[in-house]
Amino acid sequence: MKIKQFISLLLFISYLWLHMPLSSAQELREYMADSQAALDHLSQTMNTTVRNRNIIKINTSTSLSELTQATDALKLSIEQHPNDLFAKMYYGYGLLFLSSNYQQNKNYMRAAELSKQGFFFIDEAAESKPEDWRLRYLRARMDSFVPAEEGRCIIAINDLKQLNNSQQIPNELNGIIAYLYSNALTLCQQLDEAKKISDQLPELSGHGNLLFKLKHVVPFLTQEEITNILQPILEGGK
Amino acid sequence: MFTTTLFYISNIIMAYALILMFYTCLTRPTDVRYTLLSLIKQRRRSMVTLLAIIMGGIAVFIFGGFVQYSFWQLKEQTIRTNIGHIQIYKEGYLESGSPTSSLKYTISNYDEIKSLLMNDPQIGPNIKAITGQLSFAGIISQYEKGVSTFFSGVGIEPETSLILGSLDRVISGSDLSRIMTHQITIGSGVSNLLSAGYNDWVDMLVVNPNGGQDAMSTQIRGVFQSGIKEYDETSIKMPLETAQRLLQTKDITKIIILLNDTEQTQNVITNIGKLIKQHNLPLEYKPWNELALYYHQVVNLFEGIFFFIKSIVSIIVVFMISNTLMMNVIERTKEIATLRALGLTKHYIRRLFVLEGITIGIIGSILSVSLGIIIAELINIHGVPMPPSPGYTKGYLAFVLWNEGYELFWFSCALPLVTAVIASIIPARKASNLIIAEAFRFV
Repeated sequence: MKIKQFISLLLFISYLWLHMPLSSAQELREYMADSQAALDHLSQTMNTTVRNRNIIKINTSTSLSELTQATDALKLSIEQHPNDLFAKMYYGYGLLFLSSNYQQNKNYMRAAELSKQGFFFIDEAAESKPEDWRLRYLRARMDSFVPAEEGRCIIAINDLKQLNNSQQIPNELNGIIAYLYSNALTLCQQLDEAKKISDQLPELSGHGNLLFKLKHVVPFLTQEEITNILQPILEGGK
Repeated sequence: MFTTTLFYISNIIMAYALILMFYTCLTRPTDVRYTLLSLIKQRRRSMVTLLAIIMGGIAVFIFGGFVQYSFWQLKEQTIRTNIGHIQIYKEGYLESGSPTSSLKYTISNYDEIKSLLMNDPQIGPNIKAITGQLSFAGIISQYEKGVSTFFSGVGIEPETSLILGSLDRVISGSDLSRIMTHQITIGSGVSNLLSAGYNDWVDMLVVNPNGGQDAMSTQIRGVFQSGIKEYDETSIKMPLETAQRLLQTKDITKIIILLNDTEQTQNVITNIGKLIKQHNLPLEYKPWNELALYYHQVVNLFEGIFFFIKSIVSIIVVFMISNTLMMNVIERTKEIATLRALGLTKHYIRRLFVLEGITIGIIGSILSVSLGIIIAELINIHGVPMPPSPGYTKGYLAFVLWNEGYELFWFSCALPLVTAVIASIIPARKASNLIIAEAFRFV
């Protein structure tokens, strides 16, 4: 009897141990799917202007030709509307994605040029209106994941510290901000601080528990980001 | 001079070889067949000879491709680390020497000159970026840490500096900005000396063109590394308008032009010279290759090494082919005697053996280039890590640049063919000068 009870307990513990990670992985997949669905819905409802269409393409395209088209269109948009800082920010994003493409194809000269221009426009957009937290957030999102040798992690840390201290940030972005912060600290070799932030993730709102599972991977565009950042940007461009 | 002579001699030999082969194919195709059968008869020897030629050809092709890539990399690195393709100065600047005295030789009508250059139909379309630059020097300090150092500064337009200095890597922070114009970027050596980095405040003391002193407190927005140790240890950059404000001047020290294509440099320089004469402008100019001392030192070094390697490979190939053909002559003594007895002239016999050499050379050329391209593409998948060039602190990833220009192809074809023709001369003479009666008695 005792042996039977022991074996049953062992089996139950094994079941829990196997089942829990699976359910977390499932939750993460569902979160990704919900975020993708929100992005698709936004893409369909907000693509009413050229500017919006191209910002959406920057967020969703992976092909070189589409990215090039979207980037060129945003460049034109900035020339016509120099005060559209979000278009400038996404133009910078587009240049950086193109740079990454050229880097993969070993065209290092062109990759270096585009990379410099990309960061230049991202900085210009964020620094033109330092009080706009969305611009700072978008800069930090890029800087938290570019390779450490670009030296951008220090800018990301600066931006994310300011975001953490800001009252304007919706609570549901706490999770993703902490995730970005942890990664920026890791890139800048502040590993103890990074681990502290990372350990707090599961307790934070905005699916912090699921972001914790990503482990320094570039995150997909989350539901919270779509609702609080991308949607207001596209609504402003209607 | 020597290499040019060799080039012309090689071309003459190659032309002779190809014409001879072509003529023989047209007028005496049986001779070509005979040549091929003779080579196939001694399959092993022919294969070993061919292998030696191919390996030599591939080695020269791959090394040549490496050297070409290294030259190209060094050239672009030099140009895109703030030198540009062409620099224009006020007349007298080049003689003046140091940056402090160069503030006496400044260009006051930059906008007008820029407009002239951009609107010129011969010059404008070739320009990728054009910028004014103000050079100055002074002392930079971090008073909190009690550290000071001399610096060599440039005021440059932030957006054009991205293209002009595209290989200036920012290792911490950002490049210059059009918005935060009071912020500067410093070289990695300056950063280490001052123990100052992103967001730190520093103080600068400079001497203005009137001989007075000016000072400024400024924030560091980025630390850059060009790979050139001396440059990184003393350089700082700031927006041009800030530098002009600091030095109380509207002038610039030089105009830097970056072209779309480095090959257009000489053409554009010529047109700039004409433009300056036409408008009577008190300006002088220099192309990048006269400003890049290290580049020429490295190129000369590599060219010397490459010439040495080419010579060694050529000598080995000559000996290999010569040995093979000589063995052929010895083994076929009776056959040669028979051919002579049948009425073939000495010249005819000589030509047959030269044809054998040419055939080996042609097959060697084709295979060397084909296999060389395949191996080059395999190497180019990942590249080869190289140590820094002289004067630089950063190494680079080297590739085999085989498809820019014809020189590499020409040499990879010339090496087997020319050496084959040269190597076949002595065996062919030996074969043709055999005495028929003695040859028949040969055992």
